[in-house]
Amino acid sequence: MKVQFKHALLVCTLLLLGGCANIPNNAGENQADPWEKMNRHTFMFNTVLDETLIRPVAVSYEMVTPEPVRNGVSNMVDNLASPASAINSGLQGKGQRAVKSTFRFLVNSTFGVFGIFDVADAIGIPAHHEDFGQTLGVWGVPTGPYLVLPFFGPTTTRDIWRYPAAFYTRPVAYIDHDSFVRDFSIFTLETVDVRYRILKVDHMYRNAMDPYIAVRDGYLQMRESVVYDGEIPESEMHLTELPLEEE
Amino acid sequence: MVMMKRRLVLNCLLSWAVLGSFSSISFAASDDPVEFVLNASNAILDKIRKDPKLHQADPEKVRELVDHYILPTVDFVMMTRMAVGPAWRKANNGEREALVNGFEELLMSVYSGGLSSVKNQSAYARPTRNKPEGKQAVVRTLLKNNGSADLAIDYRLYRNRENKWKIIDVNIEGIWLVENYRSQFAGILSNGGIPALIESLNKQAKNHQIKK
Repeated sequence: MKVQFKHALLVCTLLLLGGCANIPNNAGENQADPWEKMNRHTFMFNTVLDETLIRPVAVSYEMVTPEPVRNGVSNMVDNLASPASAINSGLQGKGQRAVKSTFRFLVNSTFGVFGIFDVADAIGIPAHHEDFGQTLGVWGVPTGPYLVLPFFGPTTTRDIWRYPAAFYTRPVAYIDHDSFVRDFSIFTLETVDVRYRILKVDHMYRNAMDPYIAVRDGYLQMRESVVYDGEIPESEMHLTELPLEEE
Repeated sequence: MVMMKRRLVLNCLLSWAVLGSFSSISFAASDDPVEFVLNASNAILDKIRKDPKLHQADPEKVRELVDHYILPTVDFVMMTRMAVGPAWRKANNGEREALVNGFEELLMSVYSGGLSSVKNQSAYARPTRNKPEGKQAVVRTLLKNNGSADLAIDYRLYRNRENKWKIIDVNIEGIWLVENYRSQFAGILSNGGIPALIESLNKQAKNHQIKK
């Protein structure tokens, strides 16, 4: 593990110095992505970080823990985000969802033993995720240019606000003492859990012809869809017109 | 009278089930796009569940599944034309065939990777305000997962020349698969045209074979 970490550090430093990302001639011409050149470098850095450190950790985590444990961790991570979902639902005028998310947090934190068990789902209140990026979207703030952050990955100048918002709405921020060890452990656990959950779609990424574009367009489409709670109207889908007449 | 009616219904159900098991593509017949999609996806899920070899993405078995269950429901040529975009018009017949084959191979490889996650899911229609009109439709489904989060999957369909519904794109949690490849292809096409795209598709297929 230690060797692998050193190896990762070395590769990262090399990348930062050299920057060997493959930049196409038309980089930056896409209106949604004016910073494509810089983004491609950061994306390359993230890819190496993932391949050398984060993915191997997530794979080992999947190997050494039984499924119920992993589900418990996922539930806990989700539970920590549900106060933020409640607040954001409220900010978007979705009153019923705000109440439901609050109720979920209370039920799962108590009867669900710190969120390990999703009791609320079992009694018919399924999870519904809302973050501050979605709230801004509902308020009509345009997506803004695409931006790849080191470590955190894809975002936009609108969605980036979800990070500070999430930081100040996480429940542990309201415990009266600060603890770096506690916060760092939660952060590590969240990172491993998130990476573990998307191991299942790694094959889609591996089948991409240009992974950078696959992730960028996928991210932008997915975020547009969640602003509409997954029910994006057909008029807003911007689907390719079918070549029906020509032959 | 009631008894007879019941028996009639039972007989109908039975013969329908028997017929269904004989002709693997019976589900393709429906003229309602929602029914067509739901029948097809549930039949395919069922097939995968019953076959452990398919579950492990055994290439031969996947080929068989594609030929008998998936090919009748989708239109690969239309999918390829969508993904290639305006450059398709400039491609000759040989190139078009290479593109369709290459893209089919690529989509199959994406598809094989997902087979191991098939467990006890089943597909349901999601309520929608969109109404299928005329020659195109977007069908919204929900893949219900016992135990873990449900998956929203949408299908884009069109009526082909024989007036049959064919699936031409799939949306998983907000991301359209063919549209996504369209943007990736655009970059390759703008640099090296059709030959470069064919070459990349072939290279991709080779990579995949090595990884297996």
